[in-house]
Amino acid sequence: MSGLMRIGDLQVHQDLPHERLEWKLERVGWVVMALALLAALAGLLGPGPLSRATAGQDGSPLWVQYNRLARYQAPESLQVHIGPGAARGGTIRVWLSREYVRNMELNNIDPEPESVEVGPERSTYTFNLSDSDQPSILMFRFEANRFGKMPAALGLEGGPQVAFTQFIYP
Amino acid sequence: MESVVRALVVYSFLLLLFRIAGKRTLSENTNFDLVLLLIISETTQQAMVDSDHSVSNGFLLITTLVGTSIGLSLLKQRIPVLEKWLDGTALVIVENGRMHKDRMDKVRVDEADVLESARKFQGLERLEQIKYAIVERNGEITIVPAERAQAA
Repeated sequence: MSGLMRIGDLQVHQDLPHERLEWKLERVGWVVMALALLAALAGLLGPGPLSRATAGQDGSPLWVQYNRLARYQAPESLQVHIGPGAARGGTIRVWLSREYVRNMELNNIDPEPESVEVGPERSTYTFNLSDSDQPSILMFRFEANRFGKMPAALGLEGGPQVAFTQFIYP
Repeated sequence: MESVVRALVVYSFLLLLFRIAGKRTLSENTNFDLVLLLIISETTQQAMVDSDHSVSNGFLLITTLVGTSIGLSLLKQRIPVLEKWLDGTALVIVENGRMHKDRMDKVRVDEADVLESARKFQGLERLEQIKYAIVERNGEITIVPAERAQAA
């Protein structure tokens, strides 16, 4: 080992200038760690207060609550709010872009859809609503199975649609 | 391929984090350090193994980790500066019974830690019986007793 120093009788691998530099960097590292933790608490490194977002107007026929920032293979959910009167004849047909569905593993949909139709561009889910005059919430629970930007689009068949982008941390 | 990248990322992250944490962090001074180390290993394992519990994935991860360790040790042999940065250096904190308070503060070592090591490894009772105390690269405090050094 090079860099051996002689201190009195002691032969030792000590390097004070290097050690001082390391102490400084250590302290910088601590600050970075603290900032990372604060960012995580705030929701900048995954789900949290700053990560929550909505697409579409609250109270409109269709609006969606989602997390802007999510994590790879972690449980995620998408809340699709259907406004009163959006359902026709007691059923509502919601489509999700194929691109979005391909990037996720859909674990469960609540309530369960009556049927699912898969097309080249969209997957369409049909739900029966008992009272279409009341707002209802559809819950899609999934895990992202790729990371990076994940563009999403969904809408009501023959009705409004919303688009948003989620970022998935590895 | 993903397993190898995953193992490399985890290896680099842990290396960086433990260097930032400093020599003395998790150097098993207390029982809780050991507990913390176990929790960290458990957390790391989950991030690294993911959902692939196959034997081949396990072998691949282990080979990546050990291989990286061998590779770095070879590099460190050739490049002394790299060794300094990756492993750190030793630090003398007691010289002829006199403590370097400033250095001790920076590496978060106090008189009690020095005396504990002196008792444990050399059976010494007091500070003046210590000729040198050194915080080694792994955070351990080694002691050179005054009497033996004089006798030598």
